[in-house]
Amino acid sequence: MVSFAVGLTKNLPDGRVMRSFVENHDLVIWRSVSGQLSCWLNRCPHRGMRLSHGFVRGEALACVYHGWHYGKDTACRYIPAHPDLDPPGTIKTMAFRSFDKGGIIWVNIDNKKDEPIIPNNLLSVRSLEFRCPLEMVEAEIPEFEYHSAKKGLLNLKIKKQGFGKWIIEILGQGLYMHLFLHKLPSQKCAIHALSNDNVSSEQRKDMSRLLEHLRYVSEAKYKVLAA
Amino acid sequence: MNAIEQAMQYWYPIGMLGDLQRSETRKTRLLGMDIELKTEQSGLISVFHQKKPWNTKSAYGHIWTSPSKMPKPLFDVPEAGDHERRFVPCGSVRVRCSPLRAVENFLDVAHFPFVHTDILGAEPHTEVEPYSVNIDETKDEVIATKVKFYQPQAAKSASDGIVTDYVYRVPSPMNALLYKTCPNRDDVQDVIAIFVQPLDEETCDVWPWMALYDDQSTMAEMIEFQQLIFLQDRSVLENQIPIKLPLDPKMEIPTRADLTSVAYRRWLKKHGAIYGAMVSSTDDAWVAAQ
Ligand code: FES
Ligand SMILES: [Fe+2]
Repeated sequence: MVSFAVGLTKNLPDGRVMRSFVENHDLVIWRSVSGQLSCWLNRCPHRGMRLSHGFVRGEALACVYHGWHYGKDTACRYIPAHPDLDPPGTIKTMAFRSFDKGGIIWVNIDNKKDEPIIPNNLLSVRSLEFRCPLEMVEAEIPEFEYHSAKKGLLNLKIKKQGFGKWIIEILGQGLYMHLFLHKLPSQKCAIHALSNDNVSSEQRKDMSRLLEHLRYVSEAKYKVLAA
Repeated sequence: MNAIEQAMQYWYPIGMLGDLQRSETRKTRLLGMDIELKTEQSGLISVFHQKKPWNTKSAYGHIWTSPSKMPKPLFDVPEAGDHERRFVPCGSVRVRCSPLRAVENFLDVAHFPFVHTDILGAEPHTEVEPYSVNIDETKDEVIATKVKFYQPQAAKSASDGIVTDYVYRVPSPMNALLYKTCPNRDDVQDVIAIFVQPLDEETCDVWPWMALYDDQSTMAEMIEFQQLIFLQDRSVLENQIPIKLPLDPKMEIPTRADLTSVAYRRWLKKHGAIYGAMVSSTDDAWVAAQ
């Protein structure tokens, strides 16, 4: 199974927690204070609380319900109700392989080694959630047209690059945007977008507007279809 | 007897006494059934499901009903007859969780420092000292005693942190009461209850009710305090997986601080009180969550 892009590296700073989904698995993804990334099933073994509501304490993730701490190795390290207890090694969360590469956070739910091929020097554009299914967006991308306020109708060259991965080249400007599509539950999806490193921050703002337009068109079509 | 038949034997709260208007019909739900709560011009109250009347009664500031022709008697709260107390029904909070999870959360002190931070608990005072849990055989209730916890602001009327003593009672599967140190007087205890109205197995309206010795706070302040606490609880209750309360000991991991919860789950299982529970780890919803 391939690795799934679940977010932009830059959107999960050290000491922060986020929730994501891969293939209907509810996941918590967090980065320790020293910067280590972990991805676990989003469920505290104690009483089932979603760990994505928790908080990072140093190198551990603490559950918000009773404050149990889990280390990067998934083992429960500390139970606040029993401060002197050394928690039994059997109390563990369930981990999935996760890593940062090329500005993207990747998750591999069957834990097989799979290194996505992605240039290392990309710049983050943004992550955007769409209230329509991924298939809808995939169908929309090849047809997509965009009128920029400054440059008029852009000449786009759009290429599918593999599973959930597209490249949009803005011809005449030599600018590339890389899109990573991410399926979410409840008929939603997200796009995590990056650009080549020759793209200025102003141009990345334009790309971000282009993405918003893609979202607008896809969601509008979905509304018509769903009605 | 299946889950719903077992659940149908009890009384459930469906409204606050002080809140009903004359000549008014309200729609609500109980155990997955649509019901109507009718108040006549004369003040007479009745409850109907598919045009058939159900038993009703008023007690502890609320209207109670039961789908059963011969419901089990409603549990006794002797403090409700103590006229020195102020009785505070707090309205209801809708929670997308199993009614049993709502009760279990009410029985738990270990979450105070994390969920009710700086009010009912605060780090580093997180330790739960050993306490006792029994089943009162005559009343058939779960009872936890000698529960102690350090609280920065135990009640609306508390000005300093105190170690609060708690006693818990679970007189029926979806109702629980606690008796706690009263911040103003050390000879009596405040009573706080939650009465849970199961709309279905995964949704409930929780009706907190209090019987307090507090002559300083206004009614509105006391209600606001309890509502704040309960909204904090709701944020965890709506995020537990699975939604139903697991009764198979393999599914969750209790520690000594969870003795009340362990006893409560066993007692539910013994009574077949499994409406809102997940009985086995082979349940589809459980397997899907793995
Ligand atoms: S549910 Fe996570 S610590 Fe209790
Ligand atoms: Fe609470």
